Amino acid sequence: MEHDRLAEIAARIAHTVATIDALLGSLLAAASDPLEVEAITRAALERPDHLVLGAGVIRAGSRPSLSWWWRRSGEPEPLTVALEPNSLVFYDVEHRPWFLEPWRTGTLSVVGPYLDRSGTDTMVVTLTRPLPGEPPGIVGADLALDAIFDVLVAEPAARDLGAILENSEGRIIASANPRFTMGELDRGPWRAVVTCEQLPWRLVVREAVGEAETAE
Amino acid sequence: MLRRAPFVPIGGRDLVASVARRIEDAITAGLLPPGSRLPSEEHLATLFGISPATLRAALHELRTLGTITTFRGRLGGSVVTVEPSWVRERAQLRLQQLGPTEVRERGDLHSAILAEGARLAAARATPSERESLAAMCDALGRASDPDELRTHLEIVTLSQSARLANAELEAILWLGGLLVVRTDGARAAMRASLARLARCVVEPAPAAAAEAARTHVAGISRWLNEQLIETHAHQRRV
Repeated sequence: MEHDRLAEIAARIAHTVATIDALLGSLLAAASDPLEVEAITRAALERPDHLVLGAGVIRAGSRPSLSWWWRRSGEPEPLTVALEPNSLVFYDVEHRPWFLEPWRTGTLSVVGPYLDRSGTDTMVVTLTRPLPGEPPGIVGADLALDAIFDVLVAEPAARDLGAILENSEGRIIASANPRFTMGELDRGPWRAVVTCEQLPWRLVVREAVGEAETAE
Repeated sequence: MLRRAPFVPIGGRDLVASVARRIEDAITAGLLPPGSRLPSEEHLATLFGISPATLRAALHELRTLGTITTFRGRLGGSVVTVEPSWVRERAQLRLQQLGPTEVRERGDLHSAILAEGARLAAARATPSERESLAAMCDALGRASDPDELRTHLEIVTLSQSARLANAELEAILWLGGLLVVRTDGARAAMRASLARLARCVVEPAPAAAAEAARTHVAGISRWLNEQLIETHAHQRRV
């Protein structure tokens, strides 16, 4: 019963994330046209659910380039990062997991949540797909954890059960259990676990272990 | 490409708006209750470390909102003119706009400040200072909400670190305006954990004080998470 309710929520979350993969598909098709990339990205940033924090196209190589827009607060703006290797806050595009992963697997990669230090400077989940060409690149989108939280707690069953959405290593994406929150590492024990289809994510309910129950 | 990270925005609209929000936070936290008089413009500008022009722009914004009213003449100055109900309405509005990211980020920082502040307070406070804190702690059950907030500040001030105390002030200013929607039960639980923290400083037990501070802040964070889950269940962020 509990398992079924969790599975329903997991399916809806997987469905929401699938719309982001569709966005990556559009970006792949438009990658060589900067104006088209900007138009697609701006439309994504204006989604009413605020799920997309940033999106765009990044190419590596000796002179990396970013066509990435995000909303720091409200209006979309281009993301600027330090691309000089001698900078203290150097943004080493080629060695970030969200760049390496899709090239290793050749398909959609879901990285995080992680603190995007020197980039957006906030915790995000990043979805990327490899962008063939010379130099090689990626198309991608950052998801806002606060928006995923809104999706989760809008589900009455998630609130009833105190469901926690986390990645396969246990890092919490969003929690409807007030004793846990995004960014914490959940080590269990769990009363119920359901994995999200096509995603390295799971939805769990903790085994209640009394008043002191927290991740940290 | 710009090296953005070391240069976070500090000027222009952002600064005016954040000064205005800070004054609103002090009002909602009960530190500037309705009817109370703001310090003079020169004094406020010095306190915030901003130019008189920036402060006047922030006060203008608050006047437009009706938050304060400015009187001219010898007995002139700005007076807080919000309705008492405004405090709760603003807390609800802030909860709608708030997300778990900011709650956790603020909680992590507050925990670090209060834990180290309490540890140093226990190590550095003189016997007479610890006696005063003990008296304050005994009165906590019947204290006002602003007095409860000030107790945090008193503890960190005993660390003899101005920077830690200023950081703690910023943390409780942000928090205070949200705590006004607490139930009596939640208020009593937070005061109990605060009293345990204060008693560790009084004892003095530095390591236990740090641990009690972390427990206290974790309890506040759990309460904030409960409010977020409840508020965001039915309302999209604006």
